[in-house]
Amino acid sequence: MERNLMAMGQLIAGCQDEMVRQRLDLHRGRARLLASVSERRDSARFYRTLAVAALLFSAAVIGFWLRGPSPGSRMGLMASAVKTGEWIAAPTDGAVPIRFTDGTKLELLPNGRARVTEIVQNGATVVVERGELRASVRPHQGNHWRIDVGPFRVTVVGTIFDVSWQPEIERFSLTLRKGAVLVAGPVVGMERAVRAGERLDVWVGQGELKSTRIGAPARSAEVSRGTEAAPPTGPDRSRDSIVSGSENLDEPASVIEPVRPRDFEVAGGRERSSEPASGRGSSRASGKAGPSRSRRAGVPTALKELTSKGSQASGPAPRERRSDARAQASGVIGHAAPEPMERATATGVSAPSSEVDSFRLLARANRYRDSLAEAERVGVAAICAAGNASDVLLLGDVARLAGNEGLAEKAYLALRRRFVGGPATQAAFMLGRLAQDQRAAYAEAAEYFVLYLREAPGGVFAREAASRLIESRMSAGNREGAKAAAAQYVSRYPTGPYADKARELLNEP
Amino acid sequence: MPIGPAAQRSIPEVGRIRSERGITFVGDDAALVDALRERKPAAVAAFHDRYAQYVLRILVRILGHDVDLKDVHHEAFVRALSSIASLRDPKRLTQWMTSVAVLTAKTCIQRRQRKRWLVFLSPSDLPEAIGAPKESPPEVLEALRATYRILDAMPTEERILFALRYVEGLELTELASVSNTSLATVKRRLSRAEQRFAALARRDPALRDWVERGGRWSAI
Repeated sequence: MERNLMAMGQLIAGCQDEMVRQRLDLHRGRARLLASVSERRDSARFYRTLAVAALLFSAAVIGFWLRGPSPGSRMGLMASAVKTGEWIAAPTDGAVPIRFTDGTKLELLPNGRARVTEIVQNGATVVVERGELRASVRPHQGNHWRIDVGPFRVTVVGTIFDVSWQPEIERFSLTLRKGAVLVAGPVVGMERAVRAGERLDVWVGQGELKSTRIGAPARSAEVSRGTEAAPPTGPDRSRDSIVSGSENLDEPASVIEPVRPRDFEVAGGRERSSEPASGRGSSRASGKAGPSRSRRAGVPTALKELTSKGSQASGPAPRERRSDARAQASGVIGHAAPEPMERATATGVSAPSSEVDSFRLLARANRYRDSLAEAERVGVAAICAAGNASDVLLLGDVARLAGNEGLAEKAYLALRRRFVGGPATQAAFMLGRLAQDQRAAYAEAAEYFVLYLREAPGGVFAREAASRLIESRMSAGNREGAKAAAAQYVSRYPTGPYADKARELLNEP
Repeated sequence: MPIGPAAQRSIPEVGRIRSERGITFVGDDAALVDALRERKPAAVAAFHDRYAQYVLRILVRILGHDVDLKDVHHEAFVRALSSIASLRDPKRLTQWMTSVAVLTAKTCIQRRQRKRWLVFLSPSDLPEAIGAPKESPPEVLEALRATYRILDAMPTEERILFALRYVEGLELTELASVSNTSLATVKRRLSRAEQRFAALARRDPALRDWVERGGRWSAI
């Protein structure tokens, strides 16, 4: 009897082990655990900090009122319990005030996380990892204030504004009430001036940017994204992640046009035409190339209009493209706009939207092999050639999780060729992972991680990309490069999970 | 890929992760435990990566299916970190983590049982047994489902011992260690569990052959 039960148990265990291998998500589990540890630690520390901060703030306000600020006085934080470099976490039910001796006031709203990384004579640098920060920066001549919000940089002269970053959905928002700021980052480009009375929203994942007047009448698209009246008070969890292929992302609002980053490098000046037959006139030179508003709304959101010419729909076989990827990865992979509409409407087999929906739904239910089967019914080449960015990314992820690395690579490369930012940036990270973990192509992996970090320095995978960059360079025999990456990691993530290992490497001769 | 009995019972090596690329910790278990007590993020991350697959496996062995498996998995680690101070001998880190996982699974079972008083589900509404890759033969899938249907009907302690002994393959001494009971108690409970399982399995067409003749598909 015992032997029979053992044999049965081994059979069952064999099935379960395969499932465990498929379902294990080390990255997410680790991040979740680290977040919960951090919350518990910060919660206990917050109450101590708040009490001390309140006392010191009161004393400093009185002193300030009596003495008044002087331009030459040494800049400092008023609450000494908040140390430079230390993370400040606002609890769920309260904001954390951060005051400076020059009269500048910041307020980190509930659930936000930020830190003051540097204080100089006429300003400071504050990093907002997530959530919203209200800022009232005292104008002085020679002010040097900088707020790093996710992958964005806001350079401040003397302003009152609210800024927020939601890393889960890669959304940046800035509402400027007074003064002027310069914003740099993905989609926006190197510098964009934002004026008083303007609100700037950027959805990095979609490569979309929206600029509106505060108090302007809401248009239909804006209503779907929330009201103009109140700035967001916390992460917007109603908007699903790009990775899961939310339906919301299939229908870009008609008032939003994709904006090409003006100053990003393009390998050899290579760009793919995004101009539709409508001849709208937006030129690439102005950096505003993109399909027209009406065309954008007409982009096949389901894969109804996709074509398939059997397995040869578009693009060479993965093996041929791999050499392209290597050539591209040695420089910067060119930013490609979506395929011209003509190709997407060529004759061929259409995919019923129910199959597309099945593909997405099965992926969300973690049934990757079933989802892949649905994608194959639709035509994976068709998805790569003409699907929207979130579907192509989803295809890559599903293929990867179902163990079909070749197809995953093909999908990610298609994403890089056709799109800019967001999913295409994420694809760079995934290609790096595949190169490193599956093919042991360490030098190539390192190049992809560099690309990702350049395109999304504050992206959701930035920290992991930074640690993988160190490892891939080490594995490729590039010790000096690995050390340089280790130094950057330690500087940016001093308490990160890889920090100890990075420091060890730096200490080695 | 066939999974042999040895791999089935693999325990993570010190400092290395076998599965998907994980974060390693440089240092012995004593250093890791000290760092965990201080909640050092690097140690927490390495600890998670070291035991993530193993804990998931233990949970799946005991629970078979749970719609909240990710949450239960997370709960096991949170529980471990909360009680790390109770680990006196860092050399027993793996055994200790196993017992934390077992305790977490037990709590989950008790929670499920309480919910059942409130929600009446017919057996056909219960979630499918997980751990069934699509390419498995139908007989194997049915044996898997039937096994956990029977385990669901057994007392919690017997269920846990049965799953860890016959599915995970733990030795009796290991069972005693992770369940914090004596060897004699483990043997007694396991004997009851075997008899109960066998009696129920004989009535189930998917398992009758296994119990009586060792099954028809021993080479998978």
